[in-house]
Amino acid sequence: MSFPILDADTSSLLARIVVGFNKFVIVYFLLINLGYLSIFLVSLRSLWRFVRRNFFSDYSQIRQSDMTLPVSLLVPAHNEARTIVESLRSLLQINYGEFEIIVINDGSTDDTLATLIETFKLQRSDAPIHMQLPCQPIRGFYRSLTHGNVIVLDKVQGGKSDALNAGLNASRYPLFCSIDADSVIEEDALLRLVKPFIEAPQETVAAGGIVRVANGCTVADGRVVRVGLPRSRIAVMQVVEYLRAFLAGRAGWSAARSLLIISGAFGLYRKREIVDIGGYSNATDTEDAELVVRLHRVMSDQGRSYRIVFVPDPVCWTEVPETWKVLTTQRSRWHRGLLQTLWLYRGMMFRRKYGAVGTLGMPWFVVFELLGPVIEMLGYIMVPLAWFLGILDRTYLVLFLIVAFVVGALLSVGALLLEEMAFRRYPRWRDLLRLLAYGFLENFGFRQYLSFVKVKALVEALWRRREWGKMERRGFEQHKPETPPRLKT
Amino acid sequence: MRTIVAIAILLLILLLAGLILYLLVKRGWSMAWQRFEASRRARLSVLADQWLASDPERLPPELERLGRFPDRPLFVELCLNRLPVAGTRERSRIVAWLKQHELTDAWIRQLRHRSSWKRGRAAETLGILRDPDSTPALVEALADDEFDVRMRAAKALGAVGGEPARRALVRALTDENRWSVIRIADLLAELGPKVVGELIEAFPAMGRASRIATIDLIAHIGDSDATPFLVARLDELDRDIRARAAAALGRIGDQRAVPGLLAALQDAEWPVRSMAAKSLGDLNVVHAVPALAASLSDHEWWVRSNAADALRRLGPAGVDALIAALDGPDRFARDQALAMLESIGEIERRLAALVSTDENALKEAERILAILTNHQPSARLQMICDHHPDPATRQAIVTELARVAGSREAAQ
Repeated sequence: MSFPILDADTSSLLARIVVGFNKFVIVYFLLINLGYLSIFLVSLRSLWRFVRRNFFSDYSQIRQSDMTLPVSLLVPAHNEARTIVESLRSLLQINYGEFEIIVINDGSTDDTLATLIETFKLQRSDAPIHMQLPCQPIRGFYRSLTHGNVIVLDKVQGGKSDALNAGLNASRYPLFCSIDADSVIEEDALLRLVKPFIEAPQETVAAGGIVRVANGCTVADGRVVRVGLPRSRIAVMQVVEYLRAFLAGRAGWSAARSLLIISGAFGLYRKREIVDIGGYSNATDTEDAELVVRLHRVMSDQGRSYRIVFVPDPVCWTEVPETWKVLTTQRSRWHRGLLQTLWLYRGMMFRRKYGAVGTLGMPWFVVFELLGPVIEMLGYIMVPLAWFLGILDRTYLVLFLIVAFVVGALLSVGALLLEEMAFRRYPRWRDLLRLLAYGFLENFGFRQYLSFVKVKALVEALWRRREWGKMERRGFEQHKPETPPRLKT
Repeated sequence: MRTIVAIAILLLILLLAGLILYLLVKRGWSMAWQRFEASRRARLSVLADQWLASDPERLPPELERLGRFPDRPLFVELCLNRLPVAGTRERSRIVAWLKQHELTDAWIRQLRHRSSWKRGRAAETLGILRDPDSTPALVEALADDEFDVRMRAAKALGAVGGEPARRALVRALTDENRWSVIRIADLLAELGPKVVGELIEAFPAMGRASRIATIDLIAHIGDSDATPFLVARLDELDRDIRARAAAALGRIGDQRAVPGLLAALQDAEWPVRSMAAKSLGDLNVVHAVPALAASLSDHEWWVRSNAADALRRLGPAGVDALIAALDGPDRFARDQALAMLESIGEIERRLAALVSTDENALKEAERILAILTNHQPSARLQMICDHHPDPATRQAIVTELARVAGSREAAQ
């Protein structure tokens, strides 16, 4: 029972630590999976109710009503020359009453601005801007001669949050929607997303839609015309991951009034509240999560009755990384941002004043989402250590791994089931079977790698390293009528 | 302990396998069922066509002995889908068949079902049937706890029509939920001018959202008898009501509104000024040109924009006022006027005279170019030049700009 290099006391101490850790891991494992199961069940109930209620929804009435609130669509763009025209065309086709599109060219060094000027016949204008929020200097304000509701701001680079603040300053309407320049939103997405603001106008301050993976889909004239799975294995695993995160996660958190994140790729907010809390901040790497948590804090501090909701059917299609390098950078940033946000608002934890966010959402995110990967990595270290110390119970290890694998697969299959019941966006059998297969396969390497990346990100955060990384834009796959649709590789 | 863990694992694996199996079976079953339903629906549709076209009426034997499942619900669905587009004879046959099979009564009873989904569906169906017998039950459903059921009932009442339904809908306009107010207002709008008097009568008892919706509704119906009522609303304390009333007066188009709208141009709140400007354009009030030209200097973009648009719609007098604003002291007014004149091609037309042989036109074009040179940034002038379709005019603008630049340098 002892390791030959160490003396008996040290070996015994190490063995006690390993055994203690193992017990802790079992409890932690039980709690985290019970938690996920609970969130899944809440999501299931919430989606079921949503689908039933949606049966009665008449979006044409929202579209036609004079009183549907007009929306400013804010599209920050930094070096997006390859996708910006496609994105803007997609936005111009949305089915909504009154809206304006404000593209914020955030100091691009490529042809983003020139492409926009050329394609949309932009004309420089001297329109005054109400500078309610601080942002980098605006170099130019352009209006389109071909599309009356398209505005382009050209500004000195200041990051995404700064660009969104500039867009907010230039916006005219009471609601605004932040949209990533590399995303395509569905025609009715905004109508669906605005519904909570109409049904509960006094309470609703923010709403987020679902983000789906655009890789492998065919886009024509700014619309996803064929939904399919990408060939890239990394991208398919992210399809499963996104479904799990949104349908089996955010739907549940929203129902529990603890939604901490509205994806920056597609979120709708009431402008007055966001301006009142100072707009977007660049204090963290994930401005979307920071904004939502700050909104929770300020609304609770003011004692206001408010709602921040997830709506499962407005779809925003976005490109996800297809290389490990880009995926690593993206996930590092997300996890660093999570740490920064939770640290910044640590004062909200366990305080009843902040309702379910303070007593449920934030503690969960700290203990399981933020620290979960650390515990997992420590577990991987403990296994060889236990083996060295001669205390490794192989049967226990195998059983534990089987349980971990089955529970992981259960959550993925559960998310696919929710998708099948509520939306069925992947109608082909081949796609469904692939998704099922990847729901299993992601447990072998992919999840472990992401946990490693998250732990690394936490370590980096201690050194205050901030690196946004560059997303390699491939551009959307274009529909070519003369040839059969092609899967992107 | 290990046995317990092993059993737990076994249960988990069984659960996983069950979920996968359920997922696959659900997909397979729903696809197969859809195909089966489509084939039955096609067959029943042919039979329904035969039945509805028969004269005298003759129900095909297959329809006389419909199986309870799935043919009967499918046939009912087919009938309900046809009702909105059915002619009088077809409608009466379908409605009679549904009554004969006691389905109408069943749907009326379902309005009290404990499942809100069933109550909502029943209300939806009764709206398609438009059976006056269902009015009392639908009026009762307007007080349902579930928002969606209330809305379906309101929609059904709108479809059924008649005075009891109309009065119930006007009463329902006082619902506290803003969205329900909007939707009920949309339904009332479809009932036409008959509701205007009832709305005006109910107005004093309404809440804010209902009042706003009522004004929008009257504007939508466009009944000029409501003009005095709307003019009086321009003196309300609530700015949104004043703004909506100003907008409504423009939509109705009654000249009796002009004095009130001219006064509203000076309102302390910009939404009211903005809507008043728009409505003066709608009413084609030429003598409002000076007041609208003054609104081009308003500190709010919406007011300037609507004033510029109204001036455009007022014809030559309005366009001349916009041209005059190009040389005005206010930067915002100049910008707004230029944007409007550009959007209607007036700048392009006037500058085209730079290559004209008509001396007066040439002088006017040179005057406008000089004004633009004095007040607008060179980049914008360059853009106006670049976008002009006539190469000769472009060249003339370039020459004129160079000449002005030269004379400025010399002056310095």
